[in-house]
Amino acid sequence: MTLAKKLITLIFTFFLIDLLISISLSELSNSSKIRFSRLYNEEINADIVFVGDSRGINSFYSPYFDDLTGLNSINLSYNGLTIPIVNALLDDYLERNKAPKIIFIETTCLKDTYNVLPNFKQYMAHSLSIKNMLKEHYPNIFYASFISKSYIFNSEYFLRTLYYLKKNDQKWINRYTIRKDYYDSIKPENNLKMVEKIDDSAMIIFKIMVTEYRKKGIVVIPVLAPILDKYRNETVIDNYISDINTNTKLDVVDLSDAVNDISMFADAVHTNEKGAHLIASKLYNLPELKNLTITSSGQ
Amino acid sequence: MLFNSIDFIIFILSFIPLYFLTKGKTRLWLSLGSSYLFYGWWDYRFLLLISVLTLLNFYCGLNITGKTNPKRNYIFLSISVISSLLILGFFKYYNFFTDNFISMLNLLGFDGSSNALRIILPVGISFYTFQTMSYTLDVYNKKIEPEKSLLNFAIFVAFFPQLVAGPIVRASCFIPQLKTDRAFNSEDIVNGIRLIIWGFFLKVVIADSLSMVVDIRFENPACHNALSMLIGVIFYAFQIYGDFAGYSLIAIGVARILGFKFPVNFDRPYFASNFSEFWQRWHISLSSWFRDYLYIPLGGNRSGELKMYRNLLITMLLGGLWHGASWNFIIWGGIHGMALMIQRVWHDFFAKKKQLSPSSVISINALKLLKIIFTFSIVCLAWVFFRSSNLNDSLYVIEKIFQFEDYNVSGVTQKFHVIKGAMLICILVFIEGMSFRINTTNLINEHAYLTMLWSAGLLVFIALFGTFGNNSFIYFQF
Repeated sequence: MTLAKKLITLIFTFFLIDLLISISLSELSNSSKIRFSRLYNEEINADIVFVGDSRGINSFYSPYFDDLTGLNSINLSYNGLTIPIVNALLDDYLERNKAPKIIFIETTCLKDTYNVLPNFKQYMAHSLSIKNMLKEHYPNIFYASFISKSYIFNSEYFLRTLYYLKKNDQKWINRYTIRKDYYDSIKPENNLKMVEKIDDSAMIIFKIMVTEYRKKGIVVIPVLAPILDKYRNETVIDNYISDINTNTKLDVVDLSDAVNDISMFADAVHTNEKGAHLIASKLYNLPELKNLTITSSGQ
Repeated sequence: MLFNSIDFIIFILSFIPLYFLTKGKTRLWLSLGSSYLFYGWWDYRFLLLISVLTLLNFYCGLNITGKTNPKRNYIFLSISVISSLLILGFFKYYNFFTDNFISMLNLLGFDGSSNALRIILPVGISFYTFQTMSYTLDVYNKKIEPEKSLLNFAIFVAFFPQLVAGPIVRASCFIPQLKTDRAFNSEDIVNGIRLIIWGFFLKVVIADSLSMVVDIRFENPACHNALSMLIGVIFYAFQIYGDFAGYSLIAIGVARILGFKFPVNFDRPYFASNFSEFWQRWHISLSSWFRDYLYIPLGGNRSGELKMYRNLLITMLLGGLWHGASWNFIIWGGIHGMALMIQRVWHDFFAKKKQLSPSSVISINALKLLKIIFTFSIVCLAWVFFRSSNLNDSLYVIEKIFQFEDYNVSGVTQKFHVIKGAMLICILVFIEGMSFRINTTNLINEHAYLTMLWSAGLLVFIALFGTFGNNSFIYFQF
């Protein structure tokens, strides 16, 4: 076999294997029970939608919340999720579903960054917004996905997609408790970045989202989830909250000091299941939710 | 320029056609110019350093040829070796010694200035200084004739595929290959591509995927439980193997495409059933360098047992120090030195007296497996020192692992990356394990379609599981 024939065989075989694998993985992705596969392949029609980054995942435990309220909720949070991506995902959600009554948004996702975006490349075929954002912010990844179709499934998110193939991913939450030696080693100055000043661009995106959702009759409730006592700095948190209030005219539900028992934390910045139960009961007492539950039970 | 970067892809795709379109001196000049471009891409100022080392060793090599004046030969050898070591020592160990000196002054109550000069370590200096030293030592020992062409010698020192992280190629292997034009050979090209793809698999799939688990654990060991740290240590063993062996394979593969045959640098090291076998399989070009230019000149195993133990320990300690100026590397070398010594003692005092007569093949295999696991465990223990940022962290990690408490699966962070990493390690071990039973090289060489299928499959696997992001190679820091 000549060199040219060998190289052509190599390239042809590569594309063939790649195509076959990508077709199979795409089927798996579409049938998975993970939140965003459900978003793009099922009708969800939730009463309440939770969004946020990893703090959103571990603060809003939707199965417990549903039991408590009798409502139907979905948590669309994901590790590292930021507001432009939240915006795209919620737009896609609203295109495919009835508008929810309330959207809870964990405010630490108010950042204008795109680091987590490559995880969503498997949904490029479903979402024009994700496709365009990838093209703009990750052109290498965008164009590489034309060379290899399997490449779009190369992400931590896809491993989760497989894990939740038949399992309800809404039960995804930290179930462990912060280690005592780790807690002792935490230096307060290290993680105040979590509630540092919000970028103007992130705030603009959020303001636009709030305005649009208001028009659709959706109540948007920003929530600042619990912060470990060692990281709490009242002045910084007050400034952070007033910044959101001033810009969006929304009252932030400040739960930053709602949890003081460290056994309710999984690590320095995330609550665990026990902490999430406490958060759910705090949110349940909000007037917006009380009204909603009364209306629902009345219906 | 990193092998796993777009820059390198453009560089190599432009270089290969030009290389085969040229001949003779033009091709040699092209090779040298490209090698300097490759090196200067990182920091052009250090081209001066590599040029000085080249000129110095070339000149010394030419002057070590006098048959009538051994003293003169020795003087030129000394100039070559001492100046190479001084240059290496200055760039590599200056910061270490000044830091230790300042700490000592502070300890004695003096005000040690913290504004001491910081020296940048030139990439690959440890590799090319050892390569040039081996040349003058071989000329002195009359193993090779001195090279008369400065151009050939400069290419030998700076040849880009193996310039920054080896393998350390001997002049006797490389320079003769430079003397004839390497012909365009389709078999070399296919084999080179195969090696490069396997190298990328090791680097991008194995090493870079595992690094996501390893880095976070060694960054702050206090955040992780014992099981999590143990996973971090085992993953690091495979990360550094994938990273370094991957680089070597890409280097050997690129050289093969250009028509050069370089020796193997890694040969499935974690299948070693004892420490001397491990060093015959791990970073072979460096371990053989230390054997030939340090261990044997020190007396090797010819001058009695005690001296042999001393020689082993010295060689391994210096091997550790070669990696960098830090107590951690010295301890890493020390652990390997001690392991080699203990293995010798064990062999001499026990194995010789008591001939093992395993009753069945199963017991031989089980014994071998136990030996492999034991060797791997000690190698992993040494890796803790190699990877940790400082001595305190190393001791903390070891203490944590050996307390045998806190082995709680739910406390293991990054579970998905851990599962992916474990799966990739199993695949690697399976493939390498199978290669002991099946001669994959022959199989692949005899069946061209199989080679293509294997390579295409690997490429898809790289696309699916690779971690892309221009991650540097670990051995660049050495």
